[in-house]
Amino acid sequence: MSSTTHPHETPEDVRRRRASRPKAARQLGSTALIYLVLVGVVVASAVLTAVEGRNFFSQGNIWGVLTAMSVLGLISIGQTLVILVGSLDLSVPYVVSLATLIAAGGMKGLDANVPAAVFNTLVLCALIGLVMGLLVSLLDVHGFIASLGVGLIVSGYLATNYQGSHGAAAPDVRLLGRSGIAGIIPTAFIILLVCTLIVTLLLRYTRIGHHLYAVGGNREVARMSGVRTAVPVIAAHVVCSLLAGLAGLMLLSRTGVGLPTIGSQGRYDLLSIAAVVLGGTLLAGGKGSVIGTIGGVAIFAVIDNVMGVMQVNPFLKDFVRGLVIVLAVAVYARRSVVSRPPRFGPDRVLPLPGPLAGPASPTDKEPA
Amino acid sequence: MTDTHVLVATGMTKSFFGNTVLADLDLALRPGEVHGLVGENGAGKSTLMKMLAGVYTPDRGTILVNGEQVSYSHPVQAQRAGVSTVFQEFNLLLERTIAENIWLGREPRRFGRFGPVDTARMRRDTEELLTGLGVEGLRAGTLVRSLSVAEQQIVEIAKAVSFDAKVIQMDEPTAALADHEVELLYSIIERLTGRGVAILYVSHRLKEIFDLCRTITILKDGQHVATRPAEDLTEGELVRLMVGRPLTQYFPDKPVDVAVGAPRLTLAGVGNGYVDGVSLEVRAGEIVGLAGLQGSGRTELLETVFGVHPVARGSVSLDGAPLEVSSPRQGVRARLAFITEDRKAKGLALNQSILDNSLGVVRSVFPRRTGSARREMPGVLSNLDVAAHSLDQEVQFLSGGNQQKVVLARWLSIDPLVVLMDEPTRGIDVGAKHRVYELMRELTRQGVAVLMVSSELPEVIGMSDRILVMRDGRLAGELPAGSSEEAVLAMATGAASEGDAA
Repeated sequence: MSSTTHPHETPEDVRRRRASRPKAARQLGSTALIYLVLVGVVVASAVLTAVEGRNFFSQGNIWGVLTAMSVLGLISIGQTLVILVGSLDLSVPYVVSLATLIAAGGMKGLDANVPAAVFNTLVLCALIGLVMGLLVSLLDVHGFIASLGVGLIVSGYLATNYQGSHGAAAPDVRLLGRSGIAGIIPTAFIILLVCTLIVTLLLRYTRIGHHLYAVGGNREVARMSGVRTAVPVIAAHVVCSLLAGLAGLMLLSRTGVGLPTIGSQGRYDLLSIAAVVLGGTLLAGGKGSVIGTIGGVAIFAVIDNVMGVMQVNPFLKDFVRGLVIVLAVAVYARRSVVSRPPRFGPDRVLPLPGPLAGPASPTDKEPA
Repeated sequence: MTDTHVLVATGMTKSFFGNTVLADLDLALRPGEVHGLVGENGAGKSTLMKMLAGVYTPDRGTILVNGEQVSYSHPVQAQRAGVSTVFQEFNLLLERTIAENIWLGREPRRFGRFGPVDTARMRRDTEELLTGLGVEGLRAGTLVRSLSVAEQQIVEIAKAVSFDAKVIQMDEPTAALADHEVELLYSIIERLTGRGVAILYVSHRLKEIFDLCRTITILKDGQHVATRPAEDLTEGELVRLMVGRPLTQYFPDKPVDVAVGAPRLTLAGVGNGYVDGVSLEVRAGEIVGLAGLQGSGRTELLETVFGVHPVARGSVSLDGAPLEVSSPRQGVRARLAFITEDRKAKGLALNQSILDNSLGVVRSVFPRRTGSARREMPGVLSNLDVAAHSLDQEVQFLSGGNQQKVVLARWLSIDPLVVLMDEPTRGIDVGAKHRVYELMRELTRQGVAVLMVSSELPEVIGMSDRILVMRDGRLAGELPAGSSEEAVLAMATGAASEGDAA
């Protein structure tokens, strides 16, 4: 046995054994990697911005980048949960639009209406998530289809009932949209950070968080271990829609009116999935983190920002975004998945030399 | 007897679709005892284990743990009752840590029911469990993906122990282990029995059974044959008890008009990560059987010849010319056919039609021959007695036997020179089996070389002109046609090398 004390193991064997095990650094892998890439992207952007004769780190620019991150960030946190549990949510853009309309319609420009409007909006969004969660977990509809269907229903409702802008945000809400710390950090970004922290803690320190990873990793294993597999699926979808609703409120605080197409124009469905995958979460589920996702969102925001400064044309923007996603996934895919470790050859954790070694030992020394 | 026994199962019976796979079995385990459970494939060992583990519900029978009757319908209930099982297929999440896997579904919490998960305690308890098993060097926070198979098995055992198990069942625990890893398993088992845990140990490897077990229960065709103290048995007797059944199988006679021709497929010292130093020869018109235990590398050898795993050492030749195959596509181009053991996952596209499936290989590798193959296919399929409404029927609705015939038709369409068969009659009915055997004879008449892997010893013995036996990734030896099952089993388990085989 490779990783345990063995009567015939010499220090040399221990060293070789340790060497054959993936390093802890490689385990950190995706999250560390994504932030390393982010630093690189920031440096490159700073240089490119400077070439244009402007300062990437100016107060206004930082504010812009962080603002751009907040809405997509909130949605992507939810998307991370849904993808972790092995599902997918394509309905987010429509839920975002719906949230702006319901909230703006409820507020009617009056501060007194805010609590009720916010409450109604979030409850409605949570209900939409609940429907999808139930479809996925109890009826075994794949999340792709369940959320596509629900998304289309919401989108149809929006298109028939709302033409153009609707309602008005309360002044306090609009003020909140412009507020921030020292003119650098917008309140919206602080909300994003708080949500990131809460969701990270939930994933790490609640049973439901652990079970979310388990169900996404292998539903059958989770079931055999006594996990109620429906619970994490439903929870992930409810939280995802809830966060999409919150993102809608955030957009409302900036636009001041409810807009039926604001979500689909933002392409939050595909961008949030892209950010999640870029952040190192496995599209198949079971592995990943919210912190990584925020890194992915930041990379998109920085690249968008610098392309805006350089006045790159929109097609090229999408080209670059696409390139980033494909390259990132190609890098992750290189981590090979060996289902059955070989019996012979150097790939195998080394058997021991000496009289007790099995028949495999002679070949282990040959390069195969 | 219940006083001294930790687990008593009586009258355990289970049938599937009217087919009794285990009849009226009694089993009793004493604390601290390693109890061996042996029998051939299909003898009912895993059915028994799954009933004790809560995966299957027994049709009849009672289970007492520590004198109390238990009944369960879910593995977790069995574990809570004190019966844990380490299956051959591990139930682990690869992307989670050791601790998270062990405590999955019952993560400890601080401050009562709604408190946060106590990760520190999870880690501490995990380290404690591993230390208790005498395992060092595994950390609670290590991802399971980065562990070797043996280490993953230790995690499974630790998980079993964490339920405070009184009985731990182990299904072929050494199938994937190297020799020195087996020793660690032995020492872990010793520690467990020292604590009074009873182990139900299922293995094909007789040496291990005799090394470890105090008592041995032998099953055959779903019936209890004997339960005896290990010291009253020799390996030879044990093998006889396992095999000694009336030979009811029937195999078509060897045709007299087939002369074995020149060597068709020749392997010289072939090796890679899965097999090593394999030299063999299959002649035109010859059926060579490849026997061995689960995990002995038989399937991997066929896959190596077919190009699934590259050949790292040694050489392969076909009809005397060197053959270099590095992908299945090249294997097909060289007119090798590979009948996989996993028909549903690798042999067929289940939701496509019979016709599309049977033309699958020709279409993708020899597209110009598709037309003629399509014209011939109805004849080929009816010659194989495929029972279906039409060729447009989806293969998922066919019986196992008919599915296998479609697989065969799919490969016959390339006019193979060599047919590699992996468990060609697994999970198919008697009639279809017979047709497969006839087809093998027909192939030899056409000069095709057949290399057949099978776990059914009567089949290997009844169909093969020669029998090659594999053990631990290498050829253990060759036996002539008509050898006894005892001889094959002895060679496959390594009992022959101990010198006291039957």
